[in-house]
Amino acid sequence: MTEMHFLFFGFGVVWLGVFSYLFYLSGRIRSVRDELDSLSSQLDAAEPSDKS
Amino acid sequence: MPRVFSFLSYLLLLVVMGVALFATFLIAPAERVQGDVYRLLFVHVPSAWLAFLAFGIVAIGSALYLIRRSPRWDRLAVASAEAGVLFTTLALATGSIWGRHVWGVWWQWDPRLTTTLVMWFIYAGYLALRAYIDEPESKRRMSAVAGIVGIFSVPLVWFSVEWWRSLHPTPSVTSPGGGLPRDMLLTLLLCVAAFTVLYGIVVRQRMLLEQASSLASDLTERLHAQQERSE
Repeated sequence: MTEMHFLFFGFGVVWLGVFSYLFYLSGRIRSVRDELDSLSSQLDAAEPSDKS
Repeated sequence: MPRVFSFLSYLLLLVVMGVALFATFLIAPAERVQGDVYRLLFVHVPSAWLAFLAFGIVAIGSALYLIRRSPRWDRLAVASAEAGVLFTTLALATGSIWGRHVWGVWWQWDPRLTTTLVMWFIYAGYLALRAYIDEPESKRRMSAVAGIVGIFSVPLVWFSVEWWRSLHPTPSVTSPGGGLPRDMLLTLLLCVAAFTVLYGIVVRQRMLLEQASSLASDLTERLHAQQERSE
């Protein structure tokens, strides 16, 4: 491998690492947001039956 | 307001990162001995510095949590620990690639490399510890203690090149007389700034995630309590 190969390999690893983490983080945020929506609607549905 | 702040922070990241990349490839001159491969310095050094900063913030957040008992400080600590593990991984990976070119091997059990790997394991352990404790208060308290103890690995990594014989060069920016030429130094500072903005964004997003996760746990408990009452 030439020095340019090492250079681009290094930068590639950095950007791949950063974007993979950001992708993973946004996936987790999306799943927690979905969970919150589902819990809120379940609580809303449970509340009227609770009152009755 | 949070959306405007997010938009502005991503815009800032885009601008600073763009300028930093421009400087890395088009302003900083090639190095006399290593040629172009030395440009890995502009991602390797900021990653390592950000790892130190992140673990420093973990210790501060952990100490403040133990003093004030506010979950906000715990959220800061865990967010910073995760970012710190990411940046340590990047520093190790870029160091390994650079080392392969300069030393001819991917890995050496050199004091700087070994202590950095130990630091990585300490903070990966911190994250694993959090994953294994369910009760929120114990999780926060125990990880705060781990976050404070873990900070002792940072000076160990920093001074490893001075305390032991190492293949890794001593810091070229802070050592007297061994400084970088102006264009290289300026580029390095730009890259550190860009990585710091990235760190800030990652930590903020991770803190929001932690907050949303604890809200989800609270709602789940409320739902279970309600279901038990109605049965």
